[in-house]
Amino acid sequence: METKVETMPPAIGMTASEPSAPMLVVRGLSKSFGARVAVEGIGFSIAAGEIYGLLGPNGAGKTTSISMIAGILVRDGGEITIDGVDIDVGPAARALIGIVPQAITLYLDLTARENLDFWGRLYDLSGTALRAAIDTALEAVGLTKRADDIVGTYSGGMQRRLNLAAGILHQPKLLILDEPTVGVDPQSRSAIFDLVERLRDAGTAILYTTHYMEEAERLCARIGIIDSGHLIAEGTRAELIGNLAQDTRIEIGVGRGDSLVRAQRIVSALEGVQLATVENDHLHVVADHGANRLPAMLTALLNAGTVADSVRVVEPNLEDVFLRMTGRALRD
Amino acid sequence: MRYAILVCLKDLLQRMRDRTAILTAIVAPLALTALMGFALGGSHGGSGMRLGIADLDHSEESAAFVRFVEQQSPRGTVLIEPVDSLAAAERMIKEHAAECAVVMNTGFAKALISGDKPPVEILAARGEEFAMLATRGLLRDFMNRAAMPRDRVTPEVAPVTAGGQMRVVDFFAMSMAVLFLNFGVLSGVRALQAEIDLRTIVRLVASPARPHAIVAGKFTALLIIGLVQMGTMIAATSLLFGTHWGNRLATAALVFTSVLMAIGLTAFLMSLAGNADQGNALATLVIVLLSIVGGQFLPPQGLPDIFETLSRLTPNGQSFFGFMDLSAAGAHGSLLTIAEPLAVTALVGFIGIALAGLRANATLQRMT
Repeated sequence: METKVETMPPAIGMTASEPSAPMLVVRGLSKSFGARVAVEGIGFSIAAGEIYGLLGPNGAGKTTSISMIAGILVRDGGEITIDGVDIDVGPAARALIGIVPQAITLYLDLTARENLDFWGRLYDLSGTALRAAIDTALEAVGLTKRADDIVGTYSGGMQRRLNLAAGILHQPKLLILDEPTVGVDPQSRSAIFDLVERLRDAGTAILYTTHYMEEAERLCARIGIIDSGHLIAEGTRAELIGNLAQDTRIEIGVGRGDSLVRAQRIVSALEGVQLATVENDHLHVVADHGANRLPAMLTALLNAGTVADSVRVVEPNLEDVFLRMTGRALRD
Repeated sequence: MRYAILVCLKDLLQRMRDRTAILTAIVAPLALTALMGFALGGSHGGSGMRLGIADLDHSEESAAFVRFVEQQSPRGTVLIEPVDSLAAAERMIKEHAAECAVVMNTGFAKALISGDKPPVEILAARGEEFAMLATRGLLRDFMNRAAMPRDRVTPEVAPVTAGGQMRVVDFFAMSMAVLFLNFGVLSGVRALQAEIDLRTIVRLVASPARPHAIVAGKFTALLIIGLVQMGTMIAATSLLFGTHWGNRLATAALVFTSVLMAIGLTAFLMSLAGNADQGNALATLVIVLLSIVGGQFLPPQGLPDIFETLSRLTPNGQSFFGFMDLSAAGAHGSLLTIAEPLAVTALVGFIGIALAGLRANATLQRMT
């Protein structure tokens, strides 16, 4: 019997700088639309030089939360301070924030430079400082050569990068990125990641919402998992996954059709097995300390005349964390 | 204030980039005014209408009609050619010596006094339908006055409508100005809706600019677009076609309230739609319908009374008739001449803007 055992590589290292005093503090944030509760009791903080990931499926309350933090949406309850300034102060607090909405919030009939000029002036930049800020932002997103082209002629990825440039033009202390890589090509995606990491290293506090688990794993020092308007878990990737350490997922290949169904029945009956499902012609098993129970599973299958042709032990990731905590996949 | 100016300048820059909007706002109304004015203005190229009048009743009332026409045409826009019989009037039309002719048969005065339909025939050359409509308007105006208490039926009564004395080109200068004012402002309002559709409004609201500054900037941009458009139309038609718009202060006031009306009307219609394209289609449809009813394509004075009543019920009709009345009043025109159009257009503007604002705010709350 040839048994192949694979282990998923560990997550890419988190390189966040040491947290300092909180740049953003959110407490008890709540918002309802009529009878529908969109966000309830959310609280977290982000330090300067830290990337905090807000992870959740569509409709979980991410955009509502950041809209309140950015002062766009009036909250029903809770407190928000940025660098010690209450968001309710208005312009003075909003000037500390840079926002990159999920949509391309640019004027497509203006050039990139005209767009940045307008957004820069709205954040009280002018003269030489404004021109320098525009040049720096354009260079940071690799659009210097296309600066005087109409934005409507840009590719989706270029527009996405300019969208980011408009948010960082005034060097905000808190940068809110709402799913900034949706629909972009790998090259632009990589450029956005690099820029976000440079901003973090420069001391910017970054609130990053996404439903791409791999983005959160690469960029975020801490992650908050939001579902149905509630923050259901928070911590570093290691801390979140550590909670599932004893739940191991095992994929076993045992042929197709009846063999799979028989194998599912046999494995389900074993001690410590929490879940056994058939997906993509494989038996997916979740078990307490699954690796230790693997010999017993294989022996039981062998005794029943079923030979496993492949076995893969999968370490839990954030997707598993989310699945375990909500019963749903992150991209549902 | 600074933020409002920034938003206003940005919006104006965007409008300047939109060549279609410039065509719609300035070029199209001027071109249509020239085209319609000269096409429908008859052989005199719109400079005046030659009207043959045959007074076969020889009464005080029929003579009063002739004086009424003269009094209604202070700038000589209707040139009266007296004739002595129906045959002579027919010959005049056939030989293109006049665009239109009125024959007042025996019994004209008696019918006017008794309130019966007077025995009048109106003749017009082929292709002179506009002249015929204008003549019918003149006759109807006269008959309406005849129905008033006797002491008020005098040639000295100031004109209350301008239908009869307008040159075709003047009519279209004013009608196209009002019609395309709505379209010109609509292109600006469409851009506002696009700001919501494209979510740029989210970034605007998140900026240090306060919401009222953003609204003020955008409203000012729309106001400037409308005022520049109307100002250009008035200047161009005055220079190119010699159109007299009347008292300057009153004209300026009516331009202002008409622009308010156009903003309110188009913004409200846009707010009813789901996006800029839907809003544009809805607003275009409503503007065209209102313009038809409002008399911007044909002078309602020449049509049955119900049309003029309906025309004055529309906000654009109010604006249009206001300009017509001001022009007709000439040096005697004042703010009082157009009190009703001023009040109606301003009211429609404020209500439309308020409703559109409420709906936009609700949309923004849903969007975020």
